[in-house]
Amino acid sequence: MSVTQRNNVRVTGEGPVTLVFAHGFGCDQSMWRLLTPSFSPHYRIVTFDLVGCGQSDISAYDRQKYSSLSGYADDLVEIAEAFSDQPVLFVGHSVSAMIGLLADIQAPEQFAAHVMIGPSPSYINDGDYVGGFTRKDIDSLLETMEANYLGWSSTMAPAIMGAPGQPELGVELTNSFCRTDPEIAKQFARVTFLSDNRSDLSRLQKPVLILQSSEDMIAPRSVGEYLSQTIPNASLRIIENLGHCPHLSEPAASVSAMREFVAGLSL
Amino acid sequence: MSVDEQVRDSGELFDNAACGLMSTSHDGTIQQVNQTFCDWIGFPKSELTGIRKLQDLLTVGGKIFHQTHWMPLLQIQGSVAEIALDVIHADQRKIPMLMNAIRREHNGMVWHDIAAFISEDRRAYEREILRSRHQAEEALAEQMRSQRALELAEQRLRLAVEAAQLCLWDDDARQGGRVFDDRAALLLGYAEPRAVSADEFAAAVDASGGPFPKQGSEDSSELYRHEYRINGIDGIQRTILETGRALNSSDAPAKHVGVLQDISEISRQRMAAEDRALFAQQMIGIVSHDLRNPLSAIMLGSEMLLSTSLEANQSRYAGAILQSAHRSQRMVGDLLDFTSARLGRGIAVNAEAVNLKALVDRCVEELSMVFSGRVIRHLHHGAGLCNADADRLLQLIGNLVANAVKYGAPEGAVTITSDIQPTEFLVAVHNDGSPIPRDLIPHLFEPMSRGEHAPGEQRSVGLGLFIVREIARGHGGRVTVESTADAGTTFTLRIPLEPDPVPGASGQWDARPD
Repeated sequence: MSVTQRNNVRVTGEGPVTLVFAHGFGCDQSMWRLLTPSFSPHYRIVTFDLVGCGQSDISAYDRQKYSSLSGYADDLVEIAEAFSDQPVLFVGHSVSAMIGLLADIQAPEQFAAHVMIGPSPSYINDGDYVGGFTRKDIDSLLETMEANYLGWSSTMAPAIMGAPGQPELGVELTNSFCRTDPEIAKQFARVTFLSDNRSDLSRLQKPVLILQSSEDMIAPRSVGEYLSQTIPNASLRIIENLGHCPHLSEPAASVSAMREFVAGLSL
Repeated sequence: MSVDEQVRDSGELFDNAACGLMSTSHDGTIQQVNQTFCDWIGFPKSELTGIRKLQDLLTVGGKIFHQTHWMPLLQIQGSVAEIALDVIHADQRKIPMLMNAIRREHNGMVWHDIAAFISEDRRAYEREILRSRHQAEEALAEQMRSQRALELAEQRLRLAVEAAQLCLWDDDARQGGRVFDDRAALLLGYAEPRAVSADEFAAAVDASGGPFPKQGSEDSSELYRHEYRINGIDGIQRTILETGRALNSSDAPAKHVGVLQDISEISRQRMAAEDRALFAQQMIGIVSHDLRNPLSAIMLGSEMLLSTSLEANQSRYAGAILQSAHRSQRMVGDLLDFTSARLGRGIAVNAEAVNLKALVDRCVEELSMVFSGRVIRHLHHGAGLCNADADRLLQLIGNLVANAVKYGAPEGAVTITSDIQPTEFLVAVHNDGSPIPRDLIPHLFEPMSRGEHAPGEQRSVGLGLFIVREIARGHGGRVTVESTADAGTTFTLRIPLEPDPVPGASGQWDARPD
């Protein structure tokens, strides 16, 4: 099975530098649809679905391999190798920011710089460290997910009531958003929210831009500040935004912060 | 009242709708909410409108889900439907709800219009279904584990059956007879496995074994064994061992299962072994009666000759005849004892009270005559009588001395030490000379093993030490050897004064004298 099929890799745009976008916990690569058009005129854009999400090859989901983030990091290294001869600029949302961190430590020659959107090295409170959640909260999430994935194990998808102003979204595409096998979704939630990569942060030597929402319950500001102080070469940008997805709700601010960061790199 | 007058005000309809309705700004802040929703969650409108966000009313899990699923979905596809979330009541109860939401833009503002339905019963039902599904999945996983274990067990059984070349059968009540596996054909003389009917099999069973299957043999739940012969189509008669058992079950007629094994080769070998044993027994008879008698006559004749006045030459020849006859007689004796021991009968020992010193003295006297020219000494310690078979002791000492003469230093003396100790008596035979090779010692007492360096004319059949050991065992004792270049070689026989009866030993022990 090719990397392309496994991760549903899509390449758009043209340019000497390749940007690789990895979506976070929850949905799939369509999360990038408001961001990528701003970069495709000047950059090569690679987007993909993490295995088990979106339209990735579900048969490639190996419970053992994906029982920790390093399994996903292996995939990312393979994608970077397969789609770019040069070091790539990696853009990771949420848990994928940490997947990018692990991939860089594993294969530093493949990565030039990182943009981390709403990253968190550890979601669970631990002594002085405030991740934002307790173990019980994560169980509550798993319960909520189970209640919402009830019908998704069969062919039923969440009904669509219509999308005003966005007629281009076909029903087929819509159905695949955030849709995955419930067992995979549960394991991915566990792997994501129980991960702890704090000890790896100091090993990342590349320039890093942290895009931090002003209000994000999943990755609170204190976490963004912790990251910017712990990663050797990181800068923190706060985007006025409520929620975990500034690239969706505040695409313009996200794009301009990224442009500034990229301009400062010698790519 | 006209229909027009009956149409209610839309504001009132909104407020008292049969579902919760609200409208929030894009960050989730509640801008409008109806009374139904307020009643459901126990908050007055004033505490919700413009103050609380929808996500403030959710559980932590619900908040995460709202951010990671609801919000992006609403952003991308403009609506979400049938989202199951728990809303926290003012009194902290969790109220399960299903929610639909639509994203609308109005006058440059983004609004989220939300409808909510309480789904207590539905959620309980769904939980029930989920629980059942988990149970079903666990049961399935358990069944698959069992299935795999069963498959493994079956493969092992199949391998065992094939490796042992067994044939299985069971009886089938519907077919009213035995059902054999295809290997049964091999027992009937076919070259390849094929289906064999119960009648075909029964017809091949040799009639000399009585009716088949043997009446009553299958009715017991005990394991039964039954041997019979099958006349094969290839003209070969095979001996079959059938092992079977009835499987009793309370709710079904008894079922029988069995294993067929071709034991032709085993029974052939058994018969051959029996033939050999019979032949050996006959040999013992022939040797003991037909060989011993002429040897005795030769010895008697030569002894008589020696007692007359002879010329030096004649005397030498007569002495050689006597010596050779003695050796032959010993060899015949060894052969007889070996055969007897090998057939499992052991060596006959008839113990009685013996004066050990006198016995060994007599032995030394006789052996000095046989091995003239060699010094054979006897040292004795202790006093009293010992329980032993005098003839066997003479034979044992004779064998050990013969070895000492044969393998020891030609000029050295052979020393016999006899010693009566508190719990045992012992007889040791010592000679000087090169030691027994180390690698030979573990097998020294096995039949047909002997030193390589024995001069050719002194060859024997190599049974001497085997018989020494058997005689020691027959007395409930043992024999050991120590051999070094400095100390020479010593064989030591130890026999307890009050021996335990040895199982399997045929020796009979007289009561010890008081």
